Amino acid sequence: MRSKWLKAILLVSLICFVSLSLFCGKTGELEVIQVHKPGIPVVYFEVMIKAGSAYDPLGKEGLAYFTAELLDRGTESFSRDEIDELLDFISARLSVEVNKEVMVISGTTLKENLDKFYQVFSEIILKPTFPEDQIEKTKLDQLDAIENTRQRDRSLVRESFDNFIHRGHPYGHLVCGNESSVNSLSRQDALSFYHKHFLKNNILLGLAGDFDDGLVQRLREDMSALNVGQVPEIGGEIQPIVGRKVLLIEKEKRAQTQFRIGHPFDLTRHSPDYFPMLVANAQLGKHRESIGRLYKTVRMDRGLCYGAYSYIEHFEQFGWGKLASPNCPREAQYFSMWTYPKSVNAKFGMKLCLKEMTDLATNGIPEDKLEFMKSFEKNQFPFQIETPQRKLAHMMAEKYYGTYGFVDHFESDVERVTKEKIDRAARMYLSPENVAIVALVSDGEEFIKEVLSDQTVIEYPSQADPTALKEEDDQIKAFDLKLTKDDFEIVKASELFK
Amino acid sequence: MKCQRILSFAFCLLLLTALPVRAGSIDLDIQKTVLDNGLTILTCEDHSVPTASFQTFMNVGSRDEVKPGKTGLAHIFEHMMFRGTERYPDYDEALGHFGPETNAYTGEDRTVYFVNVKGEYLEKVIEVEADRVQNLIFNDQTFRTELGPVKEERRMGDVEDPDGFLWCEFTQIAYLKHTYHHPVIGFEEDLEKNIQVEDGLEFKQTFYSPGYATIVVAGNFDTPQVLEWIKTYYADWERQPPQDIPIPAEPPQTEERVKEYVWKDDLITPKLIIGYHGPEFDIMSDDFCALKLIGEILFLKSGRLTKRLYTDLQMVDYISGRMQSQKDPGMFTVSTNLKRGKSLQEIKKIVFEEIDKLTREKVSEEELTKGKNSVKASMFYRLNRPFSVASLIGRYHLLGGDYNLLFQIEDRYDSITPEIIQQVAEKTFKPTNRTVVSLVPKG
Repeated sequence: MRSKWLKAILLVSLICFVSLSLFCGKTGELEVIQVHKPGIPVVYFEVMIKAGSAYDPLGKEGLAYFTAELLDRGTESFSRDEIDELLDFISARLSVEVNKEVMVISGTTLKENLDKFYQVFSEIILKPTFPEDQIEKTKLDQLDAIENTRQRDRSLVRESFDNFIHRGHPYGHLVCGNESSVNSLSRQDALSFYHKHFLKNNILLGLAGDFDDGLVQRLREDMSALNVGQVPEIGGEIQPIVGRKVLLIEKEKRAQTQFRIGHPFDLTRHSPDYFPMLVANAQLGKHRESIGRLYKTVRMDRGLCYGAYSYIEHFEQFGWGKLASPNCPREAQYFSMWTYPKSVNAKFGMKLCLKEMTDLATNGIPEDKLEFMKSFEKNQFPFQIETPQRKLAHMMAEKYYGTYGFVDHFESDVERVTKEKIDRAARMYLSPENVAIVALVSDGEEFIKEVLSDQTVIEYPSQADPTALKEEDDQIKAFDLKLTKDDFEIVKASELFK
Repeated sequence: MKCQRILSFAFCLLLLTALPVRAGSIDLDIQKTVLDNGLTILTCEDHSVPTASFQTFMNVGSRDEVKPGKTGLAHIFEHMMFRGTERYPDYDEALGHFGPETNAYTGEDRTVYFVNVKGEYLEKVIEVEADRVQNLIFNDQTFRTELGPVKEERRMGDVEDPDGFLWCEFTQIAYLKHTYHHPVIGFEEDLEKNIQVEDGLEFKQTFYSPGYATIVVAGNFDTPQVLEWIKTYYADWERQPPQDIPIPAEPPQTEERVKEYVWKDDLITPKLIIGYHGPEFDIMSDDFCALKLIGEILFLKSGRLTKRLYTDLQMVDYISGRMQSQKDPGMFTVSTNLKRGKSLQEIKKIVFEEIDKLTREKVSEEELTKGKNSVKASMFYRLNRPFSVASLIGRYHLLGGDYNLLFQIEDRYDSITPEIIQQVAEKTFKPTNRTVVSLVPKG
């Protein structure tokens, strides 16, 4: 009996030690990551917690999101209305974001209102009450978030792709859950999730802007009131894609075909191949940049689409922003390509993307593009950390990943990349023969017929006639998609996320 | 109960001690230079960052597209500006080494090209930007090819996206004469059939001259040096006589306009846009400032409409609104997305009730202060990178006619009283001045 207790004590001590080493300093004191930028009297807060949707229990998908949504809907001292009113009055900003692995609570305030803001900010982390009268309301809002994902073609395809390549894994559901799981959530579920994840050894703190040591100490001391406990792990294995598998999502009368192609892979920030693949991806199609092959071949040469891009990490936001949000770290990443041509050109577009991916995997980066792409990456990095809050977010991600020096050594790490390293990494990590394709189409059966037919159509805009591209077009048309009827699944958009 | 009282006391104490936002006045050192050819340059140094933003504001947008059948030209031209010159046939190759953030956007009143880059690379940026604005290659082949991405951009934004679709319909109903009637991206028929390469060339001749341009540079650089480079590379840009483009004035609206559309599938929930004609961008005008503040009073998170429709009644999943900032009289708009099963009629009734209340009752000093705080702080939060600083300076210069107006924002908004709010609301929010469009799911 004594031995059992001893073992239990030893186990708890070990867990505490390992856990403390995740986010706490050696003394067990909470670390506050700091980016000082005096001059503009604004203070930015960021708190990152390992409490993303991958920790949702089976059947309770959407619980992390639900818990996050409830944080600012009532605390021990403030009701939801009071929080909204006060933050508006002092013009402070507060947001709670949930991704697959983390929950990020961010705040921005003018320095003159720091104390008032801090009272609310610290309470939503330390003393949320998950008020009973907000439970059903929050669920209703959460069901809207699911509905909005379904309504918008871009988010529908991106989220469906993410789910498709992570089937059976904790990443494989929407962050906001599905309709039946959300309907099953309760106040007790949120409380339990909160107590399991809001731990001193599971929380990462950050401050940026114009602040002093007093605030650092105050934040550290206040957050130390959280319990220490066992940090949950994300289990499950991501299954590799074998061959080419296609998921067609049907929505009526689509004029464009949004599609994503890609696969999960082992590349992470820890990998020595991260920087070679970063440069390789710039060559293929960095988000909203016009220097990559996909953009050039799809848009500039042929005018087939507004954009065509590729990614070596999950890319969260849409819109104008070119820079990836640093606030959604994932330990398991995936490669993907995204474009959205007019429907008649969808098959040609898929072949083109896969051919470009194959070329990169087979031939690597052209010699004459190496220095150009490296230089691009090095010189663009200052924008990644241009504002205090972006720099803070990057440093938080660095801490999360444990990739110390990512920010400070980014430029020299890119500089060390060689053609050999890129070519080897592209061969190793890109697998164009084993990809998932997720596309939004009007009629799935018709689309399958078209894809399996011998013909590949290309319709140039406005009777443009780029005869110079004929040879290249013929090569693309001849690219074998290697698909059979069995490789396709069809689902109606209305049936997703149920 | 006792607990509740104590909690409310904590809140009241915080609120009472919360003062109007001071945020420090906007502190930007802006220098203005005008070259002999009429090109205006505004510079604002900031050595706390290694980056700089170089922005070319062209005083032309879809508002200036007055010829029938030629809508969308300003935007197409913006796309063409990335198609190269004889000297730099590939724009991306020319600047890519420097890792720039390059892009452009076209609005109703302006077209803006920007390059964000480390300050040390500005000379090359200036050379390439000066080259393309003067020596752009225009040929039929590239023009036709570029129409492709433009049409796909339109399909993505205004055909496949229900919000984009409804906004396009809204402006066409709200404006009958003025060129704000047509979408910035242009009508489908014009893009498909009417616009030819010659139209693009004529557009270039008409609008792309130094008198229409303002260069704004913000960030890490030395002003005399940058001015020297600009003088060198833009000196040959020939001055053109200013054009007198007759923009048709919008006649006063005399009756309410209402239209409902049916979306192509049943996956959306109903959407609604309500608009009232209002003033042009002019922060010296009480009307404009008051309507901006009304936007805050209604649509902040604790604002009247957000609180009632989103937070309390949960009838909408999103609601927002604002007074547009435009060169000619713009609209005060309310946009909302209903929750499933909620009635458009009921939502409209509540929106009208809250708007009507502004015409009948004075807003409280506290609500007004909250609105003023928000307007001022929003501006302040944006000054965190050279790109945002340059955008702000350029916007005030182009729309307001003088970037110095930036320094009057605080005083102007502070001068608005509850009485002014009520007077302006009364003048603006008349049913006869109202346009209402809605989109419902199929079936």
